[in-house]
Amino acid sequence: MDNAFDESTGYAIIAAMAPHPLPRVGAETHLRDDLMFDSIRLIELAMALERQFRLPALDLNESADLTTAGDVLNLVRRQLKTGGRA
Amino acid sequence: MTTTLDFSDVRNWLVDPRTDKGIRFLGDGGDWDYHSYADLSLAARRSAAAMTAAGAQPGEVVCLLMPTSYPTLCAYFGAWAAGLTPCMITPPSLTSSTEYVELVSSILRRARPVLMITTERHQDIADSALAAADLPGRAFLHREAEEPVEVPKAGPDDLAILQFTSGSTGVPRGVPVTWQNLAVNVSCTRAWSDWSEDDSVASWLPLYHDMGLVGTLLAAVCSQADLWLMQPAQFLRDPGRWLECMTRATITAAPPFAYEYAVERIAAERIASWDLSGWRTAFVGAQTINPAVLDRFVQATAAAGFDRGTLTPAYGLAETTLGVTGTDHGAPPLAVQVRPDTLRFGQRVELTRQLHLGAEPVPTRNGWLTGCGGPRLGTRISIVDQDGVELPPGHLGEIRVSGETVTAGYTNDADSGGTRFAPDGLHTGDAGFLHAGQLFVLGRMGDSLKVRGRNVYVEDLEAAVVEATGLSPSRCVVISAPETERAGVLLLVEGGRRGWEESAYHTLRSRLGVEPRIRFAVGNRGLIQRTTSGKPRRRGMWQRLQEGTLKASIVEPEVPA
Repeated sequence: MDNAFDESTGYAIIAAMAPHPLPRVGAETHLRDDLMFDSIRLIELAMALERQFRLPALDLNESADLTTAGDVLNLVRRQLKTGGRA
Repeated sequence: MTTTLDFSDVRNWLVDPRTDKGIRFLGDGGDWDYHSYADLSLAARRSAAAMTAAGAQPGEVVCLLMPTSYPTLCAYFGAWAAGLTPCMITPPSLTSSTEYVELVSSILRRARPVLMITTERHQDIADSALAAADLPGRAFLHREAEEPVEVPKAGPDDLAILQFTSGSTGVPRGVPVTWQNLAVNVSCTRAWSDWSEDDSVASWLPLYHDMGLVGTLLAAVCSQADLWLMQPAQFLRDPGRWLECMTRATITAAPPFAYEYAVERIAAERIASWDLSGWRTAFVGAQTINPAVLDRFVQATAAAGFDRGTLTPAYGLAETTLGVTGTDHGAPPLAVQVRPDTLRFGQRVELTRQLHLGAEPVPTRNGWLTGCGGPRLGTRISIVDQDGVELPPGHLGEIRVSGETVTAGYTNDADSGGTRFAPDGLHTGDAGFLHAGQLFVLGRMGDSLKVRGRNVYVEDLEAAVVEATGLSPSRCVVISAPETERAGVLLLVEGGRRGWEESAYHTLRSRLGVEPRIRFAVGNRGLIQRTTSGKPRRRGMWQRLQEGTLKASIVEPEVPA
C-alpha cells in the first residue's frame, strides 16, 4: 500500500472540491469562509481524499477545530501514519 | 382510518413496549443493528436511573450532544423515563472550538440543564461549554444503571421536549414543547400520511433538527412503528442507502435538496432495480420547494414504480412543534406560476398557470411555487396583513398559525426575530398565500432565510459584511428577499460603490452557499428605513423592493475572478 503523502496533491484536491475555488490554497485557507464549504461539500471532499490516499472513512463533520485546509491535511497525515487505524 | 394520539399515548410505549417492532441503525459496514421497543424501553429506564443517581429531578432539562445512534436514543428516551425534558445540541461543524463553545454555552444558559449528556469524543468541549455558561459540574457520560426506574406519570402541559432554533449570533431560541403539543403534532403527521398499523419510517435527518426529531423519529417511536435510522453523513456518502430503505419502509421526510441530491448521484440502473411502489408518503419541507426538483425526482424514479402522489410537500416550524400544513395523501403536488411583479405584500397574487406534477414538465425557473396543502385536526392558518387583519384567499401576507400544535413561546424571553407569539396565534414571519385550498409559501420576510433547511439570520450576515468591508454599520443593511424558487438577499448600502463589492459578495456567498440570489442596492442617504430606535425596517424595505419603489440602483454582482 502506497502511503506516500504529497501535500500539494492534498491542497489541489481541496481546491478542486471547493464550492468557491481559489487559485492558491494553503494551510491557512479557511474551509467555510474562503472556500465556502458546507457540511455536504465536506463529505464529498472526504470521499475524494479517501480515494486519493486510500484511507478509510475520514470524519470531517462533527469535529471542532477542523476549519482550515491545513487542518484537513493534518488529519490525513495522522490517518496515514496509523495506517488508517486512527 | 387514522387514529389520533392523546398525550398519554405518545409516552405509553415506555411502559407497554412492543417486542415485535423496533429501530434499525445503519452500521459502518452497511449492516443494520436492530433493537426492539422493548429493548429500547428497558435501556431508557436504566439510563434514567443513572441520570437520577447523578442528581436529576423530574421537571428538569437535560442537554444531549450525541450523534444518531442507539445509545443516543437510550439517553434521549431515558430522559422521558426519568421525567426529564431532553434537548438535542447541534454538533460542531466547520467551526473553531472557541466559536462552538460560545454557541453551546448560549444554549446552555437558556436551557439550564441539570445534566449535559455526551460521549468521550465531545467530553472536553462539553466541559468547556458548561464552564462558559457558569453551570456547575462536568459533562455526564452516557451510561445505564443496573436497576431500571418506574416511569412517572406526566400531565398534558408538562414539557416533553425542548427544541432550539438557530437564532442570530449568540441568541438561539428555545422552544418548549408540551406532551399535548407533541401528541397533536404527531397526530397531524399521521393524518397527512394516512397512517396505518403497517406503516414504517426511514430517516437520515439530524436529530437536532425539528424535522428529523419530531417529523420522523418521534412520529415513529410514539407510534411504535418500525424505523430505519441513518446518520446524515451515511446518507450523503451514499444516498442510495436511503432510497433502498424505501423498498421496505413506507414513510420518510427530507428537504427538497435531498431528493435532488439522491437522483443526481444514484445510477439509473440501481434505481430501476428497486421496487418503490410500496412507498406511501415522502414529506418534503424545511426549505422553499421548487416544483421542478420534485418533477425530476418523479421522472428519475418512475422505473422503480414510484407514485408521484407519494410526494407530500409540507410547511412547518419549530415554534409550532413541527408540521402546520401538508398535502392530501395520494394527491400529486400542485404547482403554480406566479407573475413575480404581483408578489406584493397585502395584494392579490396573479397566477399565470397551474398544473399537477407529472402532467407536464415544470420549467426550472420563471416563478413556480409548490402547494404545501392544508392544516389537519385543530390547526388553523390564515394570511394576515401588517396589522394582523385577515386577507382574502389569493393575497400575499404573513402566515399566522393557531391551534394546539402551537407552543407557548420562547424560553427566557429570547429575542424572537421576525417570528412572534401573539394572542391570535403565531405570526410566523413567513410570507405566503392561499390558493385552491392550499398554502403557498414564499419564505421569510426580511429577517432571515432558509439555506438547505438551516436558518440564516440577516443580522449575522450584516455583521460579517461590516467586518469584512469596513462599511459603517449605520450605512448598510442586509434583508432577506425571497424568490419563488430560491432564497435571496439584498445588501442595501448608502453611499457609492467604492471597492467593498467583492469582499461583501464573498462574505455573503460563503455564508449562503451557491444557491441563493445575492443583489446590492446602492443609493443615497435615506435609502435605509429605520424605526425611531434605529432598528432597520426590513419588512418595509422588502415591500419597496417588491413594488419597485426602492430609490437605489440594484445590481447583481458576478462571481469575482
